Amino acid sequence: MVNPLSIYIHIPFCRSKCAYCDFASYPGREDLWEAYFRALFSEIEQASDRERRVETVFFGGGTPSFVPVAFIGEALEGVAKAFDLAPGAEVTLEANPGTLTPEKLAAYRAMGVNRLSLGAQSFDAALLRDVGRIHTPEDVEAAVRMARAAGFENVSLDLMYALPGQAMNQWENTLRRAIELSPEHVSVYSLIVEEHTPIAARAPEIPDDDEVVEMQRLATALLEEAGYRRYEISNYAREGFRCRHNVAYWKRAEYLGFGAAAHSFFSGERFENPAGLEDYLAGRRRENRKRIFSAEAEEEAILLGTRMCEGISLSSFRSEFGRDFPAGREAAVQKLVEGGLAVLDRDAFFLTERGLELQSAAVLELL
Amino acid sequence: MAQFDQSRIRNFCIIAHIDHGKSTLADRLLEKTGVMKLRDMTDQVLDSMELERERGITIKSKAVRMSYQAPDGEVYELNLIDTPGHVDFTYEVSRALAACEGAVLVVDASQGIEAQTLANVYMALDHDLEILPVINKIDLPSARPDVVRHEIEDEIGLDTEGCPLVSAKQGIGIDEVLEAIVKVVPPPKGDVTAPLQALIFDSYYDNYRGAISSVRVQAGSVRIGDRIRMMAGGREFDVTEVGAFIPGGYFPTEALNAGEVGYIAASIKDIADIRVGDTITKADNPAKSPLPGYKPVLPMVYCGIYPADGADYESLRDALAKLRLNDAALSYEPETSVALGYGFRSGFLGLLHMEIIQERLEREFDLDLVTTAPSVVYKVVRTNNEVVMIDNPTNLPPVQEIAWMEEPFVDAQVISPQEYVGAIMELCQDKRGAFRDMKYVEGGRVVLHYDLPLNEVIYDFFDQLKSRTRGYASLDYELKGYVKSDLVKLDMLLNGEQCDALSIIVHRDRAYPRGRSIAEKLKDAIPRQMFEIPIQAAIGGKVIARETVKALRKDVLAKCYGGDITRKKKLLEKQKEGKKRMRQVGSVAVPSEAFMAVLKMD
Repeated sequence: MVNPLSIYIHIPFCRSKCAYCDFASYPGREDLWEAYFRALFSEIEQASDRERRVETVFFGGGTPSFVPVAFIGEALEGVAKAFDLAPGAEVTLEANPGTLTPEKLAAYRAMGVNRLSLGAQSFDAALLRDVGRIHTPEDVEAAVRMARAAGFENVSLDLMYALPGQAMNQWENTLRRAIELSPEHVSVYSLIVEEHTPIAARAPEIPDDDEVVEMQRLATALLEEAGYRRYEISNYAREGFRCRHNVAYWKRAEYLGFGAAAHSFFSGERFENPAGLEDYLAGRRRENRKRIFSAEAEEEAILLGTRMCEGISLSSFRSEFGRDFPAGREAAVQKLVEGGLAVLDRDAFFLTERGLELQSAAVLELL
Repeated sequence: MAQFDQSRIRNFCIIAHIDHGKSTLADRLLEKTGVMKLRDMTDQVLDSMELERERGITIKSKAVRMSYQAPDGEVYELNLIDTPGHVDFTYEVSRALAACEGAVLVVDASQGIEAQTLANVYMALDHDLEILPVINKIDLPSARPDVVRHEIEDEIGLDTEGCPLVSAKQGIGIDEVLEAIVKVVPPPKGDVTAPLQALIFDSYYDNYRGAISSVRVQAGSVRIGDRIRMMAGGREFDVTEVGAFIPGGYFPTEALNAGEVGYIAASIKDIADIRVGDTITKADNPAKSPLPGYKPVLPMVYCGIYPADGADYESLRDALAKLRLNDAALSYEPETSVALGYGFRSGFLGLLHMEIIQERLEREFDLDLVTTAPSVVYKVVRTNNEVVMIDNPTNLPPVQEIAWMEEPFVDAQVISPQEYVGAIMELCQDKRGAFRDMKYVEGGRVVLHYDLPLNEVIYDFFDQLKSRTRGYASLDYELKGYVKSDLVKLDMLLNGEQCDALSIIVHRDRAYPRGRSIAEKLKDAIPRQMFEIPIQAAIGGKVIARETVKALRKDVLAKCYGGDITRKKKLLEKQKEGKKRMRQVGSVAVPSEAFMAVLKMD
């Protein structure tokens, strides 16, 4: 049996860049939309493999909900034509709450999108404005109502903490209002000030490590109390609503990325499309090709597997790498376990809540 | 070539306290005698090692030949043998002096006599050299040449009648110096027809000529084609070239005769075949006995040198071997440390020597090093009366096996303006010094003698002396002997595990403040890790100081990257690189700099 495939489609357009954004997204390039989508459709077509079962499709950006719905529809049709799109496939679309209308949502639903990931980020209007979001807290509430009305039964909210000037009570309020909307899934990301972003130039006063840890812990406490289970460092879901697409990444399943800046892991190789629109439109594809051999693959399995609360499955590790998990890392595992950062039981090796806060250091120890 | 005439040769060196202008005067002499065209001049031409120029000090001795046309119409061959000025390099000075008949003593017209001025003069007198005093820097507003002249007469007992007053910087008085050299320094003696005796006082490696000996010919002569023998080493070689050094190059001559200073090349591939202090003679007509050589030099300070990356061990070994070739004072042998892996215990003349070797290893050989705190050599008498010399605290026998310990003391001489006497005495007291005597000299200055423990001198004595006297005091010292002392081994524990590379031997009275200061420095040098790290200073298992490195608060990427895991991997690679530069002490990762933290003063 061939392993299932995941597909990522990048929409590198938005209305305006958020202050913290360092993703490939180009506002004000409506002139290139037509050309971009032509190129995208043909990239999908050329990768065609009718035998290959696709279990998840993810439209990310940029703001996929910013471009005309027809483009999304045609892309999804293209996927369905080129591959064996599973009837129960998870099809996610990232949407900015400030770009949605009932008509758009009905159209997405009709074309087969069944999961909506809303960039809510915060329920504090001033903070939203401050980081350059184009929507208000009320837009988020409206978006969720409209999504439900359109028939979406799987809605996720993205929230951000560690925003400049954000106080603990503001963060708590954001969490509570998100929970009131009763989404199936919540992602909680920490603001990372990346170089060469507008926010970095402002030298913002972001909460210190102590507060950041407290914010993360508050999120876990409130979300778990409301029935969401943390399943990855930044992700919480109600029973049965984990994001299957992201889980595929963390489990090192195969995925193909289409569009500018899209990454792929396919046939034992990692590769990516150029991030620049001109480069992508000039036909450059699948660059920085790198075959992942077993030593690096093991490192990836640890790097990604320890992000998930269920950790690294000992049996999958054995079947993939032909040896038992600690595999020469006994001392590091022992140190982590004795320090209360990790647990090694009969089935899995996983980090504790404290261990997840130090995941990078723990991984470094293990490699 | 003109008829060889010993009476027209002058072999001399220049001695001075550091910064009194020795190198500048040497430059002027070379310039004046036309050896150098002005356009070729860089400052300090004799100091060719990059490090020497940067620091303005002379590390290696060198010999340069000049041709001087005197007013009497005669042409003299002047051989200038450059010598280092710092107290650490006394050994090199002594080697150079043995090749001369005279010494030009440079004294700064404002500073007057300093500790090393005296030390160098005594050494020159030991070698029966004629001393020509020269007062330099007379152009400075603070110059007081008459006071300094009196100092020289009263303190050293030298006649200053006709003593040249010079500004090497401005080029004033240079002719007078050249003329005085010819008048004051006696020509060399030595029978040109006797069997060859040439004293090797230095060696170099030249890519084309092979290993080269710097020699002073005491008797006989040597020329191309001669078969020579190293009298102590026993090996024989055929001479391929003889001549004199001129700045930046070689000046081949037909022969080197008794009384001359120059070089001998003989296609010697292995520089180890040239032993400084050995005598070169001819194989077919050997001298009866070698010339008196040099006392083997004893390193005073030891430290562990380790490659920052264990993979560079071989390169470090090769680099040390190369430096050792023309630095007889450097010694090293392999050692291992639990914390640092494979490295070398290296011996040095002093802290400056140690610093210079470290810098040369890093610069000239592009090595990243981790060095441990310097240690002196302690004498340990065991309960079974066996005596062991300890240069590495790790090798100290267990306390119950030690009957007593002794530490090296030096005879230190400090010269300073009077107003700092109080501060100096306080410092010497602090450093466990024993007062010997004090003398007032010209110009409102004092000469203080103290017996000081060497381990205090190598710690921060010099820095303290300079700061407490606003840089006015000067220091010179020589090893005096061993004195019984209440010494203890101070260990540092990281997360309960002892780190051998951080142990030091200290006087019991010093243990507490040193332990506390090292613990504080380690706390700053060790980055936060996954767990809290207790740092303890302990003597024989008893903890005397404690600090804590708090655990990391968070270290995680809580950001959405989708399928792009390259960023996470890049970050990880960066962290891995950082980890490589850390040493693992038990469960604690310690950055290389932390081992140096022990060295840093407050």
